[in-house]
Amino acid sequence: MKKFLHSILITFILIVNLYAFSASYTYDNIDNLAYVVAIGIDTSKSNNLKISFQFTDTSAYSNDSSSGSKGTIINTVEAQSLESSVNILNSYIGKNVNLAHCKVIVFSEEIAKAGLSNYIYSLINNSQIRPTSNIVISKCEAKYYLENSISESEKLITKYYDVFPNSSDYTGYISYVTLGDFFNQITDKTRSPVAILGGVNAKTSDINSGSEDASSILASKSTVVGERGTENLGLAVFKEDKLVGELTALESLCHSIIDNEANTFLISIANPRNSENTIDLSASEYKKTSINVDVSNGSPYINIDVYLNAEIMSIDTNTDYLDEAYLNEVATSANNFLASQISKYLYKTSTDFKSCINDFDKYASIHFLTNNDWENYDWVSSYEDAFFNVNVYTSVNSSMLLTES
Amino acid sequence: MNSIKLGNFEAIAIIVTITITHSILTLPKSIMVPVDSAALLNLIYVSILALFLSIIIYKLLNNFPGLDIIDISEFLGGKILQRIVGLLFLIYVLFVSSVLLRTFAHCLKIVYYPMTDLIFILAIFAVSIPISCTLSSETIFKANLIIIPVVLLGIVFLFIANTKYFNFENIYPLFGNGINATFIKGASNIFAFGGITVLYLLPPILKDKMQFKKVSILSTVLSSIYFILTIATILFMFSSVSFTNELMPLYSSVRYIEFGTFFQRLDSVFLLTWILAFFCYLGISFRFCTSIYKKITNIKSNKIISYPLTLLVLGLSLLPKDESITSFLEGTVYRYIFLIFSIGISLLILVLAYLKKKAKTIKE
Repeated sequence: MKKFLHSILITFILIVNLYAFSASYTYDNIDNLAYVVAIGIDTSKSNNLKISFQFTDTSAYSNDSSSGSKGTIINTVEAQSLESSVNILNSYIGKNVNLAHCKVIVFSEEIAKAGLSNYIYSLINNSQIRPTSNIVISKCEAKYYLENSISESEKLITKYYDVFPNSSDYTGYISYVTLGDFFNQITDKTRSPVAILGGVNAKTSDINSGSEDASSILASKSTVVGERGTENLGLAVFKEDKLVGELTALESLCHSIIDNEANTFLISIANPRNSENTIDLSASEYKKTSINVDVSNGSPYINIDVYLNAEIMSIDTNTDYLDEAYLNEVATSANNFLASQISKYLYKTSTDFKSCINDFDKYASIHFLTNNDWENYDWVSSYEDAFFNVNVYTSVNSSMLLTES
Repeated sequence: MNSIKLGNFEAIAIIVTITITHSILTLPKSIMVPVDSAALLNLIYVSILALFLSIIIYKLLNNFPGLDIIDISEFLGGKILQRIVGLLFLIYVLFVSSVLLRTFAHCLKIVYYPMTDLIFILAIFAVSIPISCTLSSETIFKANLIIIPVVLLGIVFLFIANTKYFNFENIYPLFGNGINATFIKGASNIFAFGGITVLYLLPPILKDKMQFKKVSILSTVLSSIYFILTIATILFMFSSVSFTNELMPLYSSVRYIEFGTFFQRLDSVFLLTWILAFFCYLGISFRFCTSIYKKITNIKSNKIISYPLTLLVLGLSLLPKDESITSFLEGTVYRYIFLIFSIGISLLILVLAYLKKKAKTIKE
């Protein structure tokens, strides 16, 4: 009898659970889900949001697909919020839109200038969106950016979105900015975030101008001519949650060097023995950048020491690349060049943008014992009057495979 | 309950389980918000206090070998005091379990079961209570001994895997909201070591009574290390405003774990281990509950009482109208209940019983 009662109880519990959890199972069943790989957020004329969702078109990868298929589907919805746009889209596509695989969130420049905090809070609040999704600020419409996000070398859009932010590791021309980082920065009163600057390639380049180097190129203004639509170069700078400016590729590299984000990067410096030529160096940081902030005199005095190893990439004729004197001259030239560029970049952030995007506040807060003292110091205002002293210590080892030319 | 005997590791695992169950929910937030950037410093300080507290509890209980606080209160004030203290312990366990159950079920609903009614998620956990009570005590304690090391290793893994996101300078300003907030008001953060309450009930069920000192100290040290790793992970990863906003800060930090593009989304694995730890927590808590109930009422079997207690905890967990109430109960009310009951009343009983025993010895 006891066993019989137990069996009835267990059966009852199983039936109740089947009933209770089947709704959630159906809701999250892989067959019923439409996975978004990227979201683009624009403003519309009617003061609503114009939200574009990019999906992968799985039929594009089948054997009988037409060669002209782009491999992605973009649906755009006008709504008052991200959540309501998802709701409308659910009924439109007949599947449950799921944001768990969304890798990139693109905001148009216009919307970023108005402030992103509401959107960022909503995105973080959403349990499906990963904090590791990348944030891109598009110089064009976000929808247009998504439409042109097709890589020539990578047909799978999801793979492309996974890979492109990693170029920050070996170029330093962008930073690996995630939703989680962005949220952390905007919630901190003393810090300001940056985001990847994206745009659509103009597909024309005035190659005769001769002035286009890393110090002036950024997304939509690069010298690249190719079939690929979008390009991500430079960084979008925010003060609190509002877009206040842009950093060129070289300035972004300076940002990456200070934050130790770039593993290796390339710099072009003046040839110490022939001022008309430049030398390309492949550099990497052999020691973490040392940062000290002195707050004893009112305005912060920020001392930055950068330690680099470099190899000469571009070589010219009649030069001995194992000559120590020459290597030292190259090192001095690299030190001067980088120290001047980093200083210029830092004063731009403090005087032009008035925005501390390298988190120097964390080094300044060491000198304060309590939050009250720290708040009274008013880091945000003090940063505008900051003094910077940048020292770069480069050790040029040799060229690559050739030692003499 | 008194018929079963716990080994040292099993006893330590029980205390650590209670610490873990609190920490995966909103407890880190409750600890960190009042002290801000001084959270780690405060936790080290509170850990030292907790160690002192567990040594004091051991010293006092050592005067009554093989007796728990219920037996000691009988010695102090007869059957009436025994029943009052027993009832207070019952209310304490029921309150804490129901609040934790509600918060955990709510978090699961948000993350994985958006379309399932909260009562069904609560019921899944509640059903485990009578089931675990029908099993032998050894089964629960041994199962717990398997799961707890996994959860502990998980937190070490979490700390290491998130190192790349760490901002070690987040510990500055060193004293956060001030020395008073860190060391005077901040001392109330000792409520994080809720597992210490179990020490009052351990002596009769320990296999080797001489090892009680070892169990008290080791469990507190292990809980401290666990807490330091947990709080350090959250403090180094998030800005102070961010962790204030997070529902489950530890879960939020799990979502960042990635090893390239291959190894991602480990949150489900962590949640699975936490769910298992939560089942163990409920099993252990109600094993103690039924044992206390049996002691104060003299009923023969403690199995049958598990059904009404289950219904009671299910009902209590359904009572809060919304999560703001649960959050208040878990962060504020629980803090004061622990301080008043687990430290104030319980220690007072032990001290008075000790004085009574001393007076009696002198008389004799």
